[in-house]
Amino acid sequence: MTFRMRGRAARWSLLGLGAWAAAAGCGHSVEPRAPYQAADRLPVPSDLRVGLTLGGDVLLTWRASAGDRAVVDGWIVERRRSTESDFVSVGPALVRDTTYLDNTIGDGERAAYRVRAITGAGLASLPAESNLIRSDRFGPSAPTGLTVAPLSAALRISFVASPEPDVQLYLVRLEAQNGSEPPRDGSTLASPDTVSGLTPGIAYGVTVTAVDSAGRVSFPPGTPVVGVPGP
Amino acid sequence: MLLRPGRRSRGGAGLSGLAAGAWCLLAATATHAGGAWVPARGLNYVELSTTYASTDLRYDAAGSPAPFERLGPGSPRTTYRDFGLHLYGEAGLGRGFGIEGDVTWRSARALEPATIFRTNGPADARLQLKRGFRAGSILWAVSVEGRFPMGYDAADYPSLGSGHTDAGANLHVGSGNRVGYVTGEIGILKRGGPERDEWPYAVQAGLNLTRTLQLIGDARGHGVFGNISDAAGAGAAFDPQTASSRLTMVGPGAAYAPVSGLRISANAWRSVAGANVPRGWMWKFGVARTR
Repeated sequence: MTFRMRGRAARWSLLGLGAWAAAAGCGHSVEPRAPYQAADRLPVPSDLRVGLTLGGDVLLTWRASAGDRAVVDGWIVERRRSTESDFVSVGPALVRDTTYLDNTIGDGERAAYRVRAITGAGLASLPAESNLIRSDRFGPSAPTGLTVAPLSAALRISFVASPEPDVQLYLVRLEAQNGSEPPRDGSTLASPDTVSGLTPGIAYGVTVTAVDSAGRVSFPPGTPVVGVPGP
Repeated sequence: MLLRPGRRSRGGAGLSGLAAGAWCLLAATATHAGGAWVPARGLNYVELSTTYASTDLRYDAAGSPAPFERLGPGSPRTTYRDFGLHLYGEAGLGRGFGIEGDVTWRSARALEPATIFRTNGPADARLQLKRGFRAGSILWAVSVEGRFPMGYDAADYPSLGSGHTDAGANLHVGSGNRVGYVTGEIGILKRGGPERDEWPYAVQAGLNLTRTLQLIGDARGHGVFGNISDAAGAGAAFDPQTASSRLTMVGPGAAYAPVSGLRISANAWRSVAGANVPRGWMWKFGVARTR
């Protein structure tokens, strides 16, 4: 009787554990955990900054505290070109560091960026959004057709403007051919322009280069154009 | 009774050795054979047990203690919990042969501040064929085994197993008497997946305090062939079940046999060294029927 009872108890125990295991179920789930169950509960990336690298790529940086990092797996980066209406993800599905380099944007394109924190459950925070930034991978072409006309103690400089739309100004350099004066550097916003205060009778070699919005400078023309200010 | 050597196993070391060797098999590590004892034909041993571990620490690939961080350093701190329900059995086939095997239902969880990962279901099944021998008071056995996934998806995090079929061979040695027993084993385990092959090992000793109560000391783990890398460091999630690893853990245990044919055991292991494995305590409670 004792053995029978023990066997019965063992069988019921086995059945009970088996039923419990079955009730606990089989499967896989990934769920957000309180209190991080909504986007507005997740830490938003702070101090989002965008800038251009020397190569013209767009570099994004943002900040995350140790507390933020304890909650989120990383961040996702979204981009909206000025010609587009919606933000779309760029780069990897998960950015683990607080920097991202966008090297897929084309030269001259303007885009705004969003960065969202994302948890292991795939829940994304509200975004931090940047201003529009324009990618600039190439310097402007040099102005052409440079001509110099003598005026009284001055030179009138004319040239054909560079075609790039983001040219901001032109650098003008005058070098005395006889070496009697140090080079004179100036700038102008457009052609033509007049450089005054020159010494009559001295031959000046004139070069003009273009500068774009990213600070890139065009290659200078090969040979300076010489002009001699009048008396 | 539980602690009486003699009549029930082929080698003559008795039920104490059989039971003591068997209860350690569900340590949820790579080594799990029932010792050098092989049941005589018609005898068997069935155990239902649970194991539980919860930790937020691990050993990294270099073997240094580190926080358990799913995605590696700098990612959210993870608490890894592993619960297993194990059904183990062994039976004598006669002529010195025995067969043993186990199936596991597992519930693995990774808890982070913002996310809970859960995976439940059948994990791995293991089947081992053993041949026992005797040399004086020393029993020894050789065994071959296979471990098979039972339908889970190893891509789920946390995984219930490697998702691959493994094959292994072991050498077991043991000896027992009225005072107690000592058993040890070592083997090789050919991993079916990208994980490094392992050499599992175990050493266990039992001391019979009374006719019904046994005190047990156990050391076990597995080494690894070749170098192992840190999966989490490469950007992938660290999962103990799918990582190449090594482990050494030790711990005490006790077994109680209130009546003939019934064995209740409990023990704990503490990891003392390892790589790519959780770090901390693991607990086990088992109820076995011996016949």
